Amino acid sequence: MQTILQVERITKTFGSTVANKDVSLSVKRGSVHGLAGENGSGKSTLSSIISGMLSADSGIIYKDGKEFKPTNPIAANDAKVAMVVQELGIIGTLPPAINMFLGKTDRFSKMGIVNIKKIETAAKAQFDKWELPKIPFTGKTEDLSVEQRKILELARALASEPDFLILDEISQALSHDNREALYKFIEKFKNQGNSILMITHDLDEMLEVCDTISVLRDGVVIDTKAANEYTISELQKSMIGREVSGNYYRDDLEETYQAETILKVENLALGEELQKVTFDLHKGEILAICGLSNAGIHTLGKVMFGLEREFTGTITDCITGKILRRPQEVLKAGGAYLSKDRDHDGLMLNATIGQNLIVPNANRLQGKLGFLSPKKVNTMSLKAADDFEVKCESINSIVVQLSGGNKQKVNLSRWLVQELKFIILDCPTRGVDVGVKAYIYDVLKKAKNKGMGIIMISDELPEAMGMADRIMVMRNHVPSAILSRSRDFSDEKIAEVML
Amino acid sequence: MVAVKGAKYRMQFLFVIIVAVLLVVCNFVAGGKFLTANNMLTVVIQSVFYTFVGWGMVFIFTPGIIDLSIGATVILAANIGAVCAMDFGMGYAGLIIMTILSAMILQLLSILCSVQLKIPSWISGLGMALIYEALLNIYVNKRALTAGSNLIVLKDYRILGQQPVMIAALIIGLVTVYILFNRTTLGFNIEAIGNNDGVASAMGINRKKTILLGALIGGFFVGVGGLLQESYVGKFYSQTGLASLSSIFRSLAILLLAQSFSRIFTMPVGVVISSVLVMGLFNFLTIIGVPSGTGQEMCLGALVILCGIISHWKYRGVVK
Amino acid sequence: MKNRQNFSIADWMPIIIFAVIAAIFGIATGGAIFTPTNLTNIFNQSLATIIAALGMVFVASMGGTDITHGSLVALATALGSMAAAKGGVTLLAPVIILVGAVSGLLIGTINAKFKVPSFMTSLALLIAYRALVNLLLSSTVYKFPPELSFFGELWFEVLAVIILIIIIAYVFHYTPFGTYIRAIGENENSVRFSGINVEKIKIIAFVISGVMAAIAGIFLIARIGGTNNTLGSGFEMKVMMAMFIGGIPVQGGMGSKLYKLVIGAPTIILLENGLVLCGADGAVTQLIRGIVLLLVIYITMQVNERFRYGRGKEVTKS
Repeated sequence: MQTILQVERITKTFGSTVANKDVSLSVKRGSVHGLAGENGSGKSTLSSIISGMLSADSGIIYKDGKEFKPTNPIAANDAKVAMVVQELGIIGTLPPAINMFLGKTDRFSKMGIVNIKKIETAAKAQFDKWELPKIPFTGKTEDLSVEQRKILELARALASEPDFLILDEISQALSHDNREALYKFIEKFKNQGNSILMITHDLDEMLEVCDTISVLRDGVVIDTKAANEYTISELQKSMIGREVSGNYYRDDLEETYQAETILKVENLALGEELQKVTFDLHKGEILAICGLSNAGIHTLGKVMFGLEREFTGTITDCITGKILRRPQEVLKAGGAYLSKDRDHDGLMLNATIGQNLIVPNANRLQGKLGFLSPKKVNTMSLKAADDFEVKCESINSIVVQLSGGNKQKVNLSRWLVQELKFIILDCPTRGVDVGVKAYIYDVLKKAKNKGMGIIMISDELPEAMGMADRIMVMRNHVPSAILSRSRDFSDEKIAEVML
Repeated sequence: MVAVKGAKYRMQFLFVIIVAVLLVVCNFVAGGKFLTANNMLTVVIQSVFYTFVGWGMVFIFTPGIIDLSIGATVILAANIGAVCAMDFGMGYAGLIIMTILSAMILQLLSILCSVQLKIPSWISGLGMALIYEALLNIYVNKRALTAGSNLIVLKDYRILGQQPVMIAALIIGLVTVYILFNRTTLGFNIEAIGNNDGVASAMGINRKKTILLGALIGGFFVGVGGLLQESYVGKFYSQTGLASLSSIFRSLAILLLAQSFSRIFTMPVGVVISSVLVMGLFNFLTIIGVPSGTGQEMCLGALVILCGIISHWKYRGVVK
Repeated sequence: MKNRQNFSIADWMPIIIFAVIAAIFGIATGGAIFTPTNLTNIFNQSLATIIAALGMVFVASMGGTDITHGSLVALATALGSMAAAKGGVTLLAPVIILVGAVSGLLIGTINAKFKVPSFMTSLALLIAYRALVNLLLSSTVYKFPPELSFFGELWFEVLAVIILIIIIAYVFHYTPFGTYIRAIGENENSVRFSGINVEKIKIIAFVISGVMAAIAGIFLIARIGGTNNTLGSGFEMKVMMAMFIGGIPVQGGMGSKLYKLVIGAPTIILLENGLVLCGADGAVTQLIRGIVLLLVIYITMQVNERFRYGRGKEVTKS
């Protein structure tokens, strides 16, 4: 079989983060090549480079033996390389048929005026050619469901007749039936001699659909093997680089939390996104919340911090008996929240480390007449940065220059420098290198021993199993089980209640 | 999608009914003087200028450029046309060509300034408005030394301001704008950039080129509007101190109003409807004795804020 | 862990620009611009602008806009004068300030609670207020009560400005509120996710802006001697220019510092004063103002771009 795409030593750096380092792989014609890796491993960067959205700093890519260096996605399309991106990439206010040929509508125009009927026919033809589930072509794209929009994006990528297709987390948006249709399509596409680069965090899917799998970790290719030479746990091991039951998690196998409760949550609900959530958080407990990404785990975090106004149910602070509904009340009760989107919701990227550290602490540091003493602020900032071993030149360094791990340290230390009773962490080790991960787990262990209650929302099962006293598994917006460390922590048991 | 299309027709129908009811009520309050054929015609004619400026704004504002110099552009371009027609003896050719051409160039310059210098569009628009206003004012003052007054009046060449020219222009304009916005690549690209910049670029749409082309087309319609109004009214006062903001404020209100029901009527149509509605409102207010320059502008301000609230009703992002 | 400060040219911009303009006009007017009478003149004219800018800086640091100053000043002083005429001189200042506060409350609520862009809202109110003033005053003119004439005296003006600057500087740089304002300009989400009531902060900022504009209005009518319906025309542009010429970033954020506008206000007045002394008329002054505005903002953005790593660049997930 011929090689359709040859990637050689691609390197890409963003500021001080090395996203891809000497990445090499090769894809044969008529095969599906999977790209596995944790968040932050470099998958999306690599696929963006191949599809022309980014350009590499060094390295070469060959397509069909010829050097391939697309300066934009259109150039990539001309070389028959297309990609379906992870985030929704359509224009809601335009009709679906137009979205399919966006940027190429001139092909259907005579004297400047575009023939809508012709575009719709061409769109339908694409769908028929690949036997894709049908969607309506008139009206506005924003009226379609998320799944229909994803399928439209797939059709759009196919319209440029690629022989190399990159699918970035496409099945995440699809229901079971549509997934089956997708797999059928992949077969058909393959059999015509074309190839696919597939990124998915569903490892079962990856093992089933892919012929070869490359594992990326921290921007480097760890391994490339035929799919049938991998088992799921081997894959996971490669992805995180240690034994799944590694020793940077906890050593003990028993739940060790105190009897005293900090929070009592009853019947929490938010429309369709969250229903019937009831649990207690104990002193000194690490309670993990796990589930598929659309099961409501992240919504739960926001609701608990009071960021969603219309929720029903109660969150009670057991120490004072107060009911918590708003962020200020949660803060007053000694709680804190860390969103999973660190760059967007947590840090001010263009401000200094010092400035970032002040914001959550300004209120408690103020003196008479609201005076915020610069000396006090400075002392606190220096202490926080030192305590958490943030690697930087000074606290006046701009945060965007820091590595993902150090950014997360700044993010965490903003809160942990206070005397908190409980904290809600959403994916605290996302986009963080292994060294900092171990450090964060250490910090959490120490906090737990001091009696702090920790709710850890995590989409990484090994992390939850390694760190938690109990895991509350969510499935389809509802809690499906609460498992304890000593009895129930096993891959099978958790998978059973999660999927 | 049949269901959705049906819903759209139903909304349009509902809209028409509501407007009809409003008209009847207003007529009653105005003692029957509102809904006469003559009055309605006046309303439509008065709305022509704002409609054209509104259409121009559609091509400029949709990609996300908030250009406040449009008012100053219109005033300057219209006066350039008048001066060329009369002072320089270029007649109709001068009037038509110079007004429209100036508007297009001035508009392009204004947007170029924002795009090239990477200055936020609203502030660059204010700066250009200051400059355009001042330029006209300087010229007008100089001209006043010989012409005797600093108001440029278009004495001849007024045929474009008469019926049925203005109504015809409105109809031709509507068809043209509809086609340009809904059936051309430029229209799709403008909408794409305004809706999701990142996706549009990934699809190969050249942001700068689209915005600048939009500026030219927008400038064209703004120029035609200025031309028609100059022919109709005969003059365009030169003002300073950003008074030109007030003159485009009406079109801004119309644009926002049209955006707030853009799910029912596509923008080109929405602009015409809003324009007639707003001018109708002012006409009504005048009939019942609310004076212009005061009460009407207050209503306009309230209307804009109301539209803003409605169109951002369920918005959950960050707003500055 | 070091506490080294970054050297940033952005911090020196306002002084550099001031020096350049002073130099240009010093030469152009043969030194006439620096006579004590003229300098006092400049101070008198910058007074209202400085005071209003002291308020608007809160809104601008959040990334918002308040473009109502011109009409607000006219409206507040009109209502104040009317109240004073009916109910006595002591009502003048309180009513004026109250009107400013209510205006700020209105804009703040519409912006924070109803999510309408502050630019659109304040523009609509700029027009509506002026219309209201025309309605209220039409041809009436109110004279400034002689009992309060000390407002127009130099010593009072200097004292007032110094006190106001101290108070505002304190709130802006030494309270949590000031920190939150600038943080909102940097990343509103991160402030919200820190549990801070962003809506409340925004509304308070707009109220401060309205109140300071109103106070500026008091000094304006004290100097002019009364109020009429064209008062404050174009004032909002002066205030904005004072801030941006001083180098306050258009999108707000941590780069907003008070000293920038304290230098910026006299700079813009110096510019106008210099032009007038050189014989330029109103229209030419406006032309130059427009050009200078664009130029200064361009330079400020360029300077900030180079010394602020990552500004404008996408932070991509890998």
